[in-house]
Order: sequence, then C-alpha cells, then structure tokens
Amino acid sequence: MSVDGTGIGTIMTFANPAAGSDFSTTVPAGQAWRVWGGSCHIAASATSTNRTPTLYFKNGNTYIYVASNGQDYNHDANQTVVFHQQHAFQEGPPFLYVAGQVWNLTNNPAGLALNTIGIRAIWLPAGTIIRYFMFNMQAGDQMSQVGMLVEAVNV
Amino acid sequence: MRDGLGTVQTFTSPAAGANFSTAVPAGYRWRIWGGSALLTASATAANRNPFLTYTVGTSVVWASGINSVTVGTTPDFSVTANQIVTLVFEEHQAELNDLYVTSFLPIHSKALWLPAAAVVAITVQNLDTTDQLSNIGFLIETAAA
Repeated sequence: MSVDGTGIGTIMTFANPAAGSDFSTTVPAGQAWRVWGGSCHIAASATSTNRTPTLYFKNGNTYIYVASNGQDYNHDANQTVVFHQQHAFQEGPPFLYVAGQVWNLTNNPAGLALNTIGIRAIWLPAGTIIRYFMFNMQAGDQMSQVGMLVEAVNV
Repeated sequence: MRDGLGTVQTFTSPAAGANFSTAVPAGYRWRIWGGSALLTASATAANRNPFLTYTVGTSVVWASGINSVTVGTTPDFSVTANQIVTLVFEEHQAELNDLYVTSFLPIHSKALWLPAAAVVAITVQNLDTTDQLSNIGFLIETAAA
C-alpha cells in the first residue's frame, strides 16, 4: 500500500516522562506517521556518567531505525542538552565510519548544547514505537519539552 | 521521490550457523525501508562481519556492511565471541562507534524497488556454526509488479 502525504506536519508535544525514565509514544491504530524532526531537553542529574542519547523506531521486534551520536558525545553530570533530531542530517556511506566525524553543534544561539542526530522520514505504520532514551540514564535525569513535527495520515 | 507506507514482515530464523535470505515473491515488487536482525555470536573467537545485499539474477544491486576500513587490518566493528548485537538496516545513521558494537550495529540499506525474484540476504562473514540470526524483520512496501 502506498500513501502520498502532503509533507505538511504539525507539531505534536508530549507529556514529560518521569525523572529517570525515557520517552516513548506509539503510532495510533488507523494512522501512519512520518516524523520530520523534533527535539527534547535532557537535564542530567549530578551523577557523573556517560549518558548517550539515542532514538529508535521499532515495530514489534523489528527495529526500523536507530540513531545516536554514540560515545563521542556523551553527556556528563549537570548538563542540560537539547537532543535534536533533524531530517536527512547525514547520508551514511555504504561502508560505515569515517573517523572524526563531528555532527554536534555547541553553544547555539539559545545558549544550550545541541546534540544533533539524523532521522529518516519513513512512513511508520500503526503500532510503531518512537522512543528517545539514554544509555546510562540516571534516576534524577529528566527529559522534557518533547516535541516532534509529525505528518499523520489515516490509512 | 514518493515515500510509501510499508508493513513490517517478519521471517523465520535460519538454522544456527546459517545466513538468511528471502526472495521477492512472483508478481510483486518490494521496497525495504528498514529492518533488523539479532545476531547472537557463539563463544568461538572470530571477526564476524555482517552484510546486507540485494541480488537480481546475477547482479548485486546493493551491498553494504561492516568491514575493515583498511584492507588487511582487523575490522573495526566486527562482532566477536559471545556478543549479542542487533543489526539495524537503515538508510542513514549517526556515527558508528563502540556503543553500537555492544548493542546496535547500523548497516546501510537503500529503499530501491526490487523486482520479483530479487534476493534480500543477510550474510555474516566468518559466521560460526553455532551463531544464530533471529528476530528478522523488515519494513517492506509492496506493490504489484
């Protein structure tokens, strides 16, 4: 089945998860979503560890997409970071890894560190889970201001 | 390019020590938007290098995987003994580093329209006889040929 969307999304905002919990939402029954971009704020507690923000789309046991900047761009204690997802941020090479790739931006005009990853605006079928999480999340870490530019169609 | 809506199709796991392949059914075309497979490595030490390929007839129209950056050196992101890694097939991805090797290993896929009888294969170089591929699924857009 194919769908022609307009490419026009609307901003969806979501309730904050509890402290120490990651964020997830599910494409509702009867719909398909394309996520064109988004962000959330991550406020790290005073506990020192290497937090690694990561995003995935998962349907059943199948991961459709996973993205993270990985260990080079971990966040330590007391940092407040905008975890930003941007469409078509990077085209990956067929054979992966180029040493020294840097996709982070820091000191953006808002004065917050911006950890940017690429996302892919794939049509996500109903039941697909969109999840933001951090490896090594601590109990006092807080995700907030979760918002996404979502194109939704009824199917 | 017109993006299409697919559905997630899951596949039977191959036998231990065997790679995976499936063919686009007669009368259909497929476009693969993403997917994943779980690779559970045995205790045997080896540098396992997973690849994704699309083959039409004798033509390999897409091949992508994890290999050594420099020929003759140890592969940077091989899966070693006793690791359990989710291979994620996706059109682009963020930086690959050790994080992924311990959990997710992204492999570049491409949403080409594949004709009937095209073979989609997950091939792991140096696969051990007791390694296991499982949880294989792809987000597939299907159209009549």
